Amino acid sequence: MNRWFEAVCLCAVVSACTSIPPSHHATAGRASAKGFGFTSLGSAGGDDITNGLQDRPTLRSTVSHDRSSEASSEGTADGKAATGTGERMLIHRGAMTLEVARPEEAIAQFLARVQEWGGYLSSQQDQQVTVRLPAAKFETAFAELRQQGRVLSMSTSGNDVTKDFLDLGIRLENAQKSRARLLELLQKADEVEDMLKVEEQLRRLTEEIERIEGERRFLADQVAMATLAAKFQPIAAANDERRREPSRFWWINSVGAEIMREDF
Amino acid sequence: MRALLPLLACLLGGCSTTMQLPADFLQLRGESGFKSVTADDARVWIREFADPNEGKLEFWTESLDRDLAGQRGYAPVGKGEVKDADGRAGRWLEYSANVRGEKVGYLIAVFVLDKSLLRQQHVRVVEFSAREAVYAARVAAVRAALATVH
Repeated sequence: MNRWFEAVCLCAVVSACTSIPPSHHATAGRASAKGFGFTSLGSAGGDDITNGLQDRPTLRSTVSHDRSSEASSEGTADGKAATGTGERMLIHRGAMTLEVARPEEAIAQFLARVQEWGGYLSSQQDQQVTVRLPAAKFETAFAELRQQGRVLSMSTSGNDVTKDFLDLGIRLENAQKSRARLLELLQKADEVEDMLKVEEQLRRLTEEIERIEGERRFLADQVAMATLAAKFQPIAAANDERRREPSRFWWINSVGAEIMREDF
Repeated sequence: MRALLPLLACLLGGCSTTMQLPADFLQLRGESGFKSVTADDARVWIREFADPNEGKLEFWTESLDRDLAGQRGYAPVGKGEVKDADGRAGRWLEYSANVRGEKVGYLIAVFVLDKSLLRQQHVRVVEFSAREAVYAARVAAVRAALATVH
């Protein structure tokens, strides 16, 4: 009984904690079913385990279905990040450095717009702000920001995390099924030693499930809310500070925008 | 004789320059040259500078552009030709510049006033400047008003 328990627990945990390599995506269901090690265990003689074999076709279809529906449900729940129709899950990030006449005014104006878009200020350091805003508004925000001043530098990126998200989903499902199986085993265990071993594996699996769920929530949040960092620099006195060689014609030295502002 | 007084004044001291600007410009009296401002601080200033060297219009506009763009770092925005109310040919140059950390627009038009019997050649300069947004809203009207400079 002990050896049987040890083997089952070990297989369950190993399968739950093993990430699915990319090459296994096409056969995710089969990978998951094999991951539990039910085939070999079933032949080893456990009745309750061999019952699991009957679920294999179902499990396969469920997992492959869930690979698309997972993204759909998660996307809906966590910010409409992706749908099951092949829509990619992208993490949008952008950064821009702008030269503006009045940075404080420009920052206030930008933050007001971010709030209108359903976003919020994530951090601010001097004249650099980082905001989070709904991914759907990212392009609009970026375009509007460009209009606020002279763009000194800018960058955008869209990191595709569709595969990572689906991998986590598969790992989560595996872990949950393993946990359910361990709970069944726990009910059937009649020796204290077996119960302790199963409980130890259950604890590890529960932690793993929580960790995976946390990762999925983080990814979904990153997809749903884009990150945009904007740095507002005062218009550098580029020409104010420029070393100037006076014109040899005195009247030319007497005209200019700075003369208009100072000597008018 | 009384009718000849303005003409005489023109010959001796130069006629006072005028420009028909939009109604919301206020001309400042008692200032050197022609000065006009708006409530949002757009400024127009017309001045004349003696030109004993008698340079041509092309020379002065190129010298001016080299100084503004080449030496002072102004960003050229546009340039064009214009004729004043007397049919005198002039050229205008437009720039974006930074003044005390603030972005401003700047337009300058140059006319060469040929020497006369009692007056040497002069360069007449019409300048318009304002903060960027104000400038953008008004520059078309000011540019059009260059044709009314007299």
